Amino acid sequence: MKQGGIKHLMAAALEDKITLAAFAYLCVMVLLCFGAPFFAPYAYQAQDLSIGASAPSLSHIMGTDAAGRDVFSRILYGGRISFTVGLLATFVAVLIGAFYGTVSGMASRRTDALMMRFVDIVYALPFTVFVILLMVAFGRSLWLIFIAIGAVEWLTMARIIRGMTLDLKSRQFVEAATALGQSGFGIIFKHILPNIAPTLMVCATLTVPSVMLLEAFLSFLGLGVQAPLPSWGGLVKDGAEYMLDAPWLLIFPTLFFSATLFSLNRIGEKLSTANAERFSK
Amino acid sequence: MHAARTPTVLKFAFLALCTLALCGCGKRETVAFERAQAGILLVGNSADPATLDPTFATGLTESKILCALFEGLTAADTQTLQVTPAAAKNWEISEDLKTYTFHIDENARWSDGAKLKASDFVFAWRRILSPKLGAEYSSMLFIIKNARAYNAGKLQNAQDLGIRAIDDNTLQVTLEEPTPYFLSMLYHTAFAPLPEHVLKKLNCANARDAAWTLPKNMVSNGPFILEKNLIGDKVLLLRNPLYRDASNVIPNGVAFFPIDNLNTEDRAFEAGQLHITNSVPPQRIDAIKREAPRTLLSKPWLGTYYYLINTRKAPLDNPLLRAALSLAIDRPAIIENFLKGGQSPAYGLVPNGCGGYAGGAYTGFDPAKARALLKEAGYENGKGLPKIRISYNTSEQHRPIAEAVQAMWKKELGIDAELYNLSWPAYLDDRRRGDFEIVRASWIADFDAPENFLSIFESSSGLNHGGFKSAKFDALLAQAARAQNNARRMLLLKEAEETLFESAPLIPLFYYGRVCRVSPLVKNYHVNLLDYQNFKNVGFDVQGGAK
Amino acid sequence: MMRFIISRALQALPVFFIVITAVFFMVRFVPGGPFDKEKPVSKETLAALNSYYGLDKPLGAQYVKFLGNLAHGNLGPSYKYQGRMVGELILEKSAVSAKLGAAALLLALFIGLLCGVMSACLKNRRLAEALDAFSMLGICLPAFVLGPLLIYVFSLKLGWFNAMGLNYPSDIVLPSITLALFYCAWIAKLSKNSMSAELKKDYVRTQRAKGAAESSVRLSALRSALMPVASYLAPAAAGLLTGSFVVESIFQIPGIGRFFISSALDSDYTMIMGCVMLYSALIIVFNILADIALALLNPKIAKEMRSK
Repeated sequence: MKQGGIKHLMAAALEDKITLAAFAYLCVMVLLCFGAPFFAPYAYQAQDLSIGASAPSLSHIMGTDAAGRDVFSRILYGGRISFTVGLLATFVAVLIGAFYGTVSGMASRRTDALMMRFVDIVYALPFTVFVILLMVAFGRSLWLIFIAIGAVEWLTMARIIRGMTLDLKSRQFVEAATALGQSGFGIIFKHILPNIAPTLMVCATLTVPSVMLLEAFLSFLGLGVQAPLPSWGGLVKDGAEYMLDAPWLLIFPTLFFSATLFSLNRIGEKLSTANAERFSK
Repeated sequence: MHAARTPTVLKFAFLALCTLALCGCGKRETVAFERAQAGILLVGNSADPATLDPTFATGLTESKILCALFEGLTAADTQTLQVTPAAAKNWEISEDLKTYTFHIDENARWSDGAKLKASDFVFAWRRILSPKLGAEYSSMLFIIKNARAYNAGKLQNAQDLGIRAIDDNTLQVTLEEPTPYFLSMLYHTAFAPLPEHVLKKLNCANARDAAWTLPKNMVSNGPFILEKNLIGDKVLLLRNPLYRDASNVIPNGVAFFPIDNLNTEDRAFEAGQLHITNSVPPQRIDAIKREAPRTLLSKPWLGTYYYLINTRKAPLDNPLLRAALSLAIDRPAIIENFLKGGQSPAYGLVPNGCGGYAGGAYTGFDPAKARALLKEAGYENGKGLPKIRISYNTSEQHRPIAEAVQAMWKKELGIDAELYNLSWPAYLDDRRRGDFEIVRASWIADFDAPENFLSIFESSSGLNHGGFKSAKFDALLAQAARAQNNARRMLLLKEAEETLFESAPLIPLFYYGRVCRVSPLVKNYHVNLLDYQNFKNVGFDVQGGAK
Repeated sequence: MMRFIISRALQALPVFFIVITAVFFMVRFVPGGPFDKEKPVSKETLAALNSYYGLDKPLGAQYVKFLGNLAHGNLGPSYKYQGRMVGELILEKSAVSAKLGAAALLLALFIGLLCGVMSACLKNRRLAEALDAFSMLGICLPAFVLGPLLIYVFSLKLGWFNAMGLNYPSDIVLPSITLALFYCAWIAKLSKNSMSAELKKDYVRTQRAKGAAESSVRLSALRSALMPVASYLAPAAAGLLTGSFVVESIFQIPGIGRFFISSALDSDYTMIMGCVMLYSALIIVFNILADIALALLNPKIAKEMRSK
């Protein structure tokens, strides 16, 4: 089955009004966030200690934080960071995870065992120690965060994909293909990948929020983006502390965060449903 | 089929909600009320105690617990910090002010019944000075004759130390110099006595991993004894029936909860699970002042928060630049926006009133003057200045302050700074190796005297990481130690601080404030400059009802 | 099957050793050490401390000593909590985390599967969408928002629960909900997706055409549908049982999650090694269990495993 027809897939997915809205929202968000220098009314680090944490007003449509920084601007700049981290790290994770998982599932028992043991080893390494070490050895850059997160996220993917590959391998059409003499890689591309693609897509859309949350956790520990750069995870975490006293600090970042995650999930799901429908025919 | 499914789901959900509600229905009284009735105090203590061995304890979390477990020669009134007799019922001071003779209360006992002897103090103080054990607070005892040499391994015979047990009830201490604040140091945990017989029996006298501090083994002489030490959970102390003043101890026990997250602690207090908190999240302070002002206690605390400058590396080796940086910071604004907890702006190192010292203002908020100094230093409007790195360890307190300072320097001076957020061990490591430009630092006083602050910048000090060296400064401190009267001593100390700020190797930011919440169920809890507590006299007021 | 389990267990041993060796050397390259307290210590004191704990010996010698101690079941003393042994601390703390983790796992499985499978089976689209949205909650609301929110509503405002600790039976409710919701979302999504895909497959249509009862059709689809869930559960279960730093911090629970992270940040070498060993042992065990589950769900895989 060909992987082409992405246009048909998208059309099928976007038939639904909600999904269309989600897609539109995402496009707008990405535009606004990556265009933050143009769209943000204030610089993200511009402080105004005389006003402190103030409620939404005409000059600050989403209010300000304790240092008098405009929340809307920080959300835009933060989105830039979060999108970058989320999308890049997920892309890396999916690529490596899918490749590794399919190869492992198709390979001989020994190779499979070896490959999965490697996954076990890397998985059993404590993430924080690993990240601390990376941060210290190579300085504190954003790229390092991608690498560190991507290096962890691909494992879950690989495991799931390998499980599905094992299942698919036992199905009739794969046995038939093997009997017909198709190579391992050919089988992977022609039969396995199309069947796991829906799951991959759902995994990917679920990995993006996981990555964003992981970045927030890193900020929690002090290993995230360097202050005063904002990120959505960091903004939500800080806002949670102001839940009772300055709720706009929590509400707005969480709204954007949740809406983005919801949209990503929605689109991913519709795509995967559409894809699944194609292959059941 | 499908119509039948839906009600099942709803049934389940309904059941779940009911169970949830039922779980909650049992609780009528808050934990705080119930514990207050039992006479157990619930105190938030920010972290697990790293050790309960007075020889090795360094932190505030440990000293809170240890001051309730152990009693030194003196104690202090928790409201005024007035020195009171404790294990020592009275004492004499020699004419040259260097020899103190303490008479130990005959009723003083250890919690296993053994008598508290002068030799217990000798044993303890020798242990903390022992060169092999590497006790972090050995330097506190360097005021004692020959202590520094003994700790450095230069003196072999411990008998030559200025500590002698003349008999079971008499202890004689000889100091290097007349130290007017000596008596007020004695309630610090570094001077606590140790049950020599217990440590010897358990073979802990020369060891660090002390099995004797386990609840089943520990023997103490203070108002409370150690009942439980559950890491991450709580440390429970119960009343010591053999304490020499047991009849005056009000609580039946104290439970310390190692809650490091300020918001968790605040929620626990609001939910009625704590009587006294360790701190208050700054963003809650305004709301608490409006809604429950009587639960908020806010007092000055003897400590200074400052930025230490590495004076060895360019461009920060230029004192004009350093002074300019300090003058561009609006300290009151930082306190008002981020701290809110009774802190006061620091324009010098030693807080005003510390041991009777008159604090001075050696810097301020003067952007115009700052710009002039910057120009004089050759960096007009920040041109030609590379990015200045501010290092700090991960903490919700340090980050907003660093961000604010960064913004102020940009706005007033046009200088770019970058923030370096490090883990605690990495932060200390960088500091020790001098791998920093500006690093955040704090000093919380161990005892109420300006020497405690100024000694940080002595050439020999192990904490002087910024490379400040001034023979004049060292000489002034040495002279102050030998001063014949207090007025002269204060004068010399003031001159020393002036000398320090001529070079400006630090940017003082604020003097600490102690802010915490106290439940209306508790009475007679006071906060003092050193935050010294022994919980002996803290009482309960349960008439108000279950809140 | 037994042979399979034993061979996997044997394969796991070298993994285990590689992991602990790697971590042993890794942590010693992180700057700072375990002896840094609130007030920085002088160089001399640090030297004395390092020599006392044998940390000034060459790395190789330290490693050998570590392995020797390990053979005797001695994980060494904690550098941070003096007087306590790592082994007993880990046992204490992991018991607490396991309790919370088990509750959260059961909750996540129950609610997740319910939402996911039902959402795939229901003809009523609106209800299915509602279930979807509900399960999304776990992803959209991070624990450090959900936890305080739950505490604010159910503990502070309504007074139904305590805000911290695990001392009373009802204390487990709020933290396990907070912990479970994220995993619940994954499980719901994975099971719904694979269930939907399964139900559209040819063999399902064949069964229906043959007149099989809807419930038995669903059941057979369920087996295949559960496989990605089983694969997902291995790391998820290990993660849940080793505790969550965030949930334990918010609810002040003395579990191993907080310990693990703080020992990594404090460079408490012995503690890190102990936690890593626990964590990796759990991961390995759960991976084996997941493989067994896969085999149980799909007899063909079992056959393949046995034949190899």
